[in-house]
Amino acid sequence: MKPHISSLPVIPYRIAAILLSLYVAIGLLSPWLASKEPIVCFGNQNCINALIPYDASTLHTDRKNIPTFTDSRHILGTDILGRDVAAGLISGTRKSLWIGLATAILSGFFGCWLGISAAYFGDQKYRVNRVGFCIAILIFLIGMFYISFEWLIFGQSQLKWGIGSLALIAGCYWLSRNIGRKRQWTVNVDLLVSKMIEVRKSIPSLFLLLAILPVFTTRSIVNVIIVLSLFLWSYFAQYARAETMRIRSENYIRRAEMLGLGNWTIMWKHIFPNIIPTLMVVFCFSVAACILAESSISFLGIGLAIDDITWGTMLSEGRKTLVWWMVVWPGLAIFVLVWSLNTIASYLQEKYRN
Amino acid sequence: MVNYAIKRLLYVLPTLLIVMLMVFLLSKAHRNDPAEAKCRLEGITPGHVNENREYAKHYTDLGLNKAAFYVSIAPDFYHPHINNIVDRTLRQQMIAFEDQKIQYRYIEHYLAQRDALIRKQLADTTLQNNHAAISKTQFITNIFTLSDHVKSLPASTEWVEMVSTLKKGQTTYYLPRLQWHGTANQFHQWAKKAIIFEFGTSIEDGQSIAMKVKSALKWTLLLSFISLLLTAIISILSGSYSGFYAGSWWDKISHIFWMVLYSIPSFWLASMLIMYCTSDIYGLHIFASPGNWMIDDKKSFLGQVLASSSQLILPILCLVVNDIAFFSRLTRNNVRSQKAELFTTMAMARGIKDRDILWRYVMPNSLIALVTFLIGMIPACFSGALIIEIVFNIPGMGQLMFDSIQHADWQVVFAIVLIIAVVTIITMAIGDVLYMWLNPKITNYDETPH
Repeated sequence: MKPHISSLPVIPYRIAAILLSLYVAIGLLSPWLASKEPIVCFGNQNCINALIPYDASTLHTDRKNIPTFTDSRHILGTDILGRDVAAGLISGTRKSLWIGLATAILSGFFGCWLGISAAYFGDQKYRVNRVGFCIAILIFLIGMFYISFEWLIFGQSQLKWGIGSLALIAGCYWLSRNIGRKRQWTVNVDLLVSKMIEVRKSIPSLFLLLAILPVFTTRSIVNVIIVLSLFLWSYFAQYARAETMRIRSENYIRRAEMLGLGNWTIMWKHIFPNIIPTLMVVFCFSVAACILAESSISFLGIGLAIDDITWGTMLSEGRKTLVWWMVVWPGLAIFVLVWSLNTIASYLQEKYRN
Repeated sequence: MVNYAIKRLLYVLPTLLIVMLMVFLLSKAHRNDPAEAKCRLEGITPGHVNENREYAKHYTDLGLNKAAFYVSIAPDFYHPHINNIVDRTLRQQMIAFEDQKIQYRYIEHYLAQRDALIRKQLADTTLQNNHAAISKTQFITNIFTLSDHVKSLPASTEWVEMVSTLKKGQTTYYLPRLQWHGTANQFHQWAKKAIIFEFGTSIEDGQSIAMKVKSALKWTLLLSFISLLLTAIISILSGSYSGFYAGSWWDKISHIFWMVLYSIPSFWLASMLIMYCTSDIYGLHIFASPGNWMIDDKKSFLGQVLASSSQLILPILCLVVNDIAFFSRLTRNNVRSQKAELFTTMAMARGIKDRDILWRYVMPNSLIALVTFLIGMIPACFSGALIIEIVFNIPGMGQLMFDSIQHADWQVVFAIVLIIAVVTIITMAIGDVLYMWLNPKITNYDETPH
């Protein structure tokens, strides 16, 4: 693919790249930027403190509700409980980036896998052995029954259950490939995946997000990542499918098929590297969308725990107490991060446009 | 064409069924008891004289005594009809014992014997000092704790014998049991009512859920409609010019501007506008403050909208901002790709004015795809309206959903998710059919934009 010479100005993209690396640096260094604990101590008194010597949740009972730029100890001010705003912003950076990246990677993996297989196998190419498939389904159902009851209900061990079910799926897949090769069924993978995408897209995500999140009895970042991934995979699947469709009939894919390479080899070594430019665009947009979604649900007070300070929770507190420094700074932080991600994504889009 | 339309509209049905299944599954995943919630609505708190009777009445009225789904798979030592046990405590204790792999017949036997013995011993005045320990036995569901506890009770041989019988019921090996429950199950009943939009009553105020949702849906649809309309008008105007003159200064400036607008979190903008423009704290009291919605029930919906139109300006502004940016970018790219086609070059060669080329040759071709994209934006628009409604306190679906979650009024939440999904599915199907109807060039009907 020949890089296209952009018709749009380059300066915003450079600014965006610098800002994004600044965010990443803040996220990585946040334990040393805002922390109650000193970084290193030589002897008893000679300690090097963090830049902001408080945690995000440190309460300063004598310094509540200080406006921005009026106190040298709290440059950006404090909230109604006396928590430092700047420290909150720094801890929020780490959480937002973590949620955005983890969700995009997790859903990107499954979405790409589904989308590429949908376009690669199409409606004819994927065949399963009739006997092997039936046996594998039966064994899978019975195995799932015992695994779920033994480890999830009687044993209460989710880790064992997760590993066990993954092993079961792998075993059943092996069985279905290797038993009874005489008679085969053709599976319309494309139709299956397209319908999955359609069902997922038919529900407005924020509504379902609000309904699902309270199911979890504990509020944690991992839950938010899992639930957001349930929504995000469809974008990756859609774009991966469309891009694979485009390069599906190119000569190098045909040749790889003629050489007798396995389906997985073709999909991961020949198709996937060639659709990475598009996927990078989707990835950047998705990280931005995830960060927005996370701050929206935190803003509504449903996502993370109340003492988990993120940009969204700070904003919602500021809105309720009507103090400008609790609204402007977290919002600005979200806005600038989302803007840089979107700008970089649109730059990539422009660069690799066909 | 007609065949395609019928086929596309029939495709709605399986999608609807899957969505209904998902919503039902979600409602079962929440550990709430609608019968208990109903009791609370009637003011019957735990410990009330009538509690058990009322609970049993609501329990059977709501159909909770039926199986959850058409089929069930459970270990063979489980109770085959666990939901038939109306008494809440007995049911929970049965489940707790079952989870320790005890056969249900042994548990049933034990529970009956235990209650009889406790009643007998509590009636005995000579055992008055032990009454606390005896009553405590009813609440122990761990078999090891139980066998330790009963040794200290009066008539302990009888108790120990009972518990050892219970222990004999413990199994190690079991088989799955597949059961068919027929149509007398909760999903069937719920789906049958959901199809005619009957969801029961809300536990927050006892109103019918369908009525609540209906009055809320009007506002959400109104907001979405107005914002989509504004989005379409403004972004088609601006996007078509920047697409037609791609690379011009107008295109460059508008790209940067739209990128900024696209990235503004709508709830941040909303909070800022409320803080700075609707109150006297920061000096710019321009717009009516949100929150005081004096909705006059006697007026028609149009009258209500007109009466509160001054309060609708800011919400619509916040709703539109992100969508305009997204959609004008889409329009720009679409127009630019149309401009590269041969028919535009031909029109230019004929000396037709730029404005006429844009509006008579390029736009009609672009509009087809744009209308479809606009319809595809409806789900995102509902999601956007949710948060804006909450911030601006507009009595729409989002506000209702948020309130219901706060009050643990889950039946309303599931009704809202279902209705929003139904509205979205139907509009998307209509959008696809519209696309086919507008664009006779396309013959491969399976390749629609979404």
